[in-house]
Amino acid sequence: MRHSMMVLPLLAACALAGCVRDPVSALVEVPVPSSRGVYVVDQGNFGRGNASLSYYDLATFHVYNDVFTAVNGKQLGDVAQSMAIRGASGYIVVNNSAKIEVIDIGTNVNTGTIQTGAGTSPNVMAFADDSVALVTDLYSGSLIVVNVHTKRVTGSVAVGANPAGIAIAGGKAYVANSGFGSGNTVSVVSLGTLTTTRTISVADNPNGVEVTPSGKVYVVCTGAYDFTDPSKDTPARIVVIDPASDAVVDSIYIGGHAMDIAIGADGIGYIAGSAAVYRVDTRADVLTGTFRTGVYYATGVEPSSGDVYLADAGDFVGPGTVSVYAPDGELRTTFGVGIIPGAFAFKTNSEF
Amino acid sequence: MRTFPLVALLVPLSVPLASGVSGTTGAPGEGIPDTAAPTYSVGEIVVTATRREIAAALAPSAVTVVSRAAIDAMPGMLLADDISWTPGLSLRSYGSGASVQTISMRGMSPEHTLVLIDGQRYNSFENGLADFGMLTPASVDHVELLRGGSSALYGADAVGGVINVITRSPGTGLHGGGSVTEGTAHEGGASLWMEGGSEDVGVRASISHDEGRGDYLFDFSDGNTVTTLRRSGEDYSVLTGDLRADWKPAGGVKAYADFSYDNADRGSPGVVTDPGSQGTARLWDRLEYLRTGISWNAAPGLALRLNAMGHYGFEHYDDPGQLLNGSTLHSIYTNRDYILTPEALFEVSPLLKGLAGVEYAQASLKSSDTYDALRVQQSAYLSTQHDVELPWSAPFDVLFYPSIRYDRYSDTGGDVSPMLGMNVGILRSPSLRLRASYGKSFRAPVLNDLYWIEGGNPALRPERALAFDCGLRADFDIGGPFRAEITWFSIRSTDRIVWLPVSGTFWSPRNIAAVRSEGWEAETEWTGLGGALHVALNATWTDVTKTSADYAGDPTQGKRLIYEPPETFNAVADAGAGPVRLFFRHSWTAYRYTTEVNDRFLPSYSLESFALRYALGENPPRAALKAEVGNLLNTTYQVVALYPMPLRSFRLTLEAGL
Repeated sequence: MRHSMMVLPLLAACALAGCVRDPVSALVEVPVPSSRGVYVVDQGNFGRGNASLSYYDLATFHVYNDVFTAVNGKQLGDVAQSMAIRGASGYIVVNNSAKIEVIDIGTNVNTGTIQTGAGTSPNVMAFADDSVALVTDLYSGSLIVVNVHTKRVTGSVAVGANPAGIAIAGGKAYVANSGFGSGNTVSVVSLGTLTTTRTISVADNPNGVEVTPSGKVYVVCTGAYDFTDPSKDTPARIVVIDPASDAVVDSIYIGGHAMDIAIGADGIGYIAGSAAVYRVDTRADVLTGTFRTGVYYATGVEPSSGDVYLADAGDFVGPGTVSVYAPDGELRTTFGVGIIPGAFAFKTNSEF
Repeated sequence: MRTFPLVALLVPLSVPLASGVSGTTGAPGEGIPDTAAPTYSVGEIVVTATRREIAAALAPSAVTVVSRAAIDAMPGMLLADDISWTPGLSLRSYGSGASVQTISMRGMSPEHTLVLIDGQRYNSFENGLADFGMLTPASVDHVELLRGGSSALYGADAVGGVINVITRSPGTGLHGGGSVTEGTAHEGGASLWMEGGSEDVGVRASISHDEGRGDYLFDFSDGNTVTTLRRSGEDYSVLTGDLRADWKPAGGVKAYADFSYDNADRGSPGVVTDPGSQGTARLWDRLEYLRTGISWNAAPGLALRLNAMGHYGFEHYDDPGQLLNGSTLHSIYTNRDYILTPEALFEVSPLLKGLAGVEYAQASLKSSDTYDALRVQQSAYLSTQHDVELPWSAPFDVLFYPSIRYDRYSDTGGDVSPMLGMNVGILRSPSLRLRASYGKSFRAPVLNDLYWIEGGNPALRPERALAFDCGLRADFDIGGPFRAEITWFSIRSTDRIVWLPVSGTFWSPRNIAAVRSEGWEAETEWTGLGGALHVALNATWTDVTKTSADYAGDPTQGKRLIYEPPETFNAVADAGAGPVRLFFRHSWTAYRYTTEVNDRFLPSYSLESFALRYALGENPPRAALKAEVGNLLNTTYQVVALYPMPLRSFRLTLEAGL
């Protein structure tokens, strides 16, 4: 009997097993349809499938996080790299899930998924026309050609190694061949034949490509890393290409390392460098000074207001933040988003 | 009676045990009772708790033993399947078959659990991990699982606990056998073994091969709909060989040498976030170990022993789907390590005994991803056991276990790890004992942390941890031996190494985080009906929290660490009658957060497995047939987010022996 009394507490302890219940998932808000807003693409952590989409409503100034899941009930995927808007659709490029999720940007309803194929790493998307889009495939040497109407891959275009950024100008696509740090070229792809027609030498490690309001192609070259001797790192530069001649017409020294640039309708660009965001006047191709000090992961410019959006990824593990500045540098607001905010997409009235 | 290899070989001293533990004796080599009985926590001489032979009931820390008989009874291909049900363990599995698997203890990460094979280090110097996907139980005699910080005995990485895998010694006479296995998940295996010898010398050789397509079915959910898909790119082929020789010449000398060879070619397709997203990467490992030991009873009360280990490891990771610097991803790691551990076991009096030793290790790494690295480790340790002679006639006995160890690394400096353990007998019949330990442990930065080309930090310091645990153990008879234990533990670690971004692209490790892990472990075990029925239950409650703020407003402060369940519960039962033996296991794992801010989690899950073994004869069986069912109830679950686990599967193994 005495022994049984000693057994009972242990059996009671084991009986308690299983009493820990799963947490209740926090309810996320479903955004009401709005005509103007900013999508923030939250990359999430590699291999964890925690990419998300945030939406900042410019009518109500309300922030909705994890919009894709809130509206559609499913997870966005692993490493959402970028988002492109064409007409009434938004295309979220999910790199490590090898897919592009398509949403109706009025309702955020998922209208389809474009599977880019096992082993592909879709990165940045640009539209050749209303039906054909080109997507850089980061860990290959090619572009993925997608028909957005059928939502199918229709082909590929050979370019340089590890294509990162892409932009369309003058009927051609300009593709930054990053070489994952070792590249220094831009491939020019004819939108008519979908073939590479020219390769342009730029500076080290080209990553971002943007087109200025005047039609010039800005290629942000991050600069090479030398881990053995960091003093041998090469500096970030913007290489300017004239799409009429495909000639390099200028090179703007940035210093440190920079990944991408956002350019407003007024021709002022904002580039996040190693320790500050710099302002670049694309009309004169000159660096005009520091816009904000600090380390930011992505930049964006809202087309109608010219407001500058700066993404701070924090410790790259927890939620990031986005700060909104007026063009004169005045802080308008700061709001929390998902993990590693890495890209912006702007929804304007023109899409409706 | 089966011999107890490590004890018999390495601990020649007589170890008189304190009285009050029913059914145990301290004669060397008699630590493990007849393992033909369906016993899991053999009762029970262990060597891991103090580096010396000691009854588990007298140890200052909690020890669970999984015997060979238990391994034979359980379903599963890997050793991890046989031990993951024990208290305080958390298994991270990245798929089925031979996919990468790691084990952590008491809420700490896998790098904080030291894995030993025959008492010698198995964790990689390169990344700190022990890959249980490479460990099959073919040559394993039993496993000792010591929970709690033990750097005072074993040095680096013994923060959450120590898993000591004891391999089989050659038996006497001439025996041999083999087995073939087929499974419904397109998997199969074959093994051969042979042993022969006398009381003085013996040789055992074994070889096994397991392979599978890794194309099992799993349920994929996108949040709205569930689709049954087939895993791709997770095929495996694992070849394991082991050759061991034991020698006992006259003069109180015992020696052994064991060479093992493992070759694993495994698909590593990564996460599944979408039906079309399975990857094409592959992992190839070749491991060669030579472990030797020699002991000599030099004088009454003094034994000397020397353990030595050499390791060569070659690994490459290829991903044809990833183009980097003009070629597909191809990473190579070549490790060469050796460790020498001479030590002396002494017995000053029946009340004072212990051991003192030094350890010299050298580890080198050449890799496409790191700078060439060479680490030299020099260590010294002293551990004693004091049986306190009380000045009055007390109804209880008291044992103290002070230990201290100094480790010096050529690249990160030195560290002192003291520990004090105690064990008090409160009641003698039935046996009720209180044990407690308090000590400092540490984890050394691994070579990847220090020498990674893109971001390694040579200024890292070792992580440090203070661990305390306190438990009660009762042994008595209720129609058969019954054991019950309950333990409270606390581990507070500081200077945790965390990789943080130094730019948008590259990350680097820093000593910044602090973590607190606290919890309870409860376990019971009963053998009844004359040994025909065995039941073991255990439950673990763990609260492991990041206590530090790495920067102002750090949202991960106060949050649980990822992948550590707040609770686990395991129940195993087996029943044997004549040649038939039935085994059943139920395991329940609570939810696990998958993000540091705890906003996403994997739901709790239950797994059931079943095995039926019919054997003619024992040690070895002349013939045996074993049928297994894994994931009996077809549960859809993930251990690591986005790595799907297989649904129900069946395996059939046919053994023959002479």
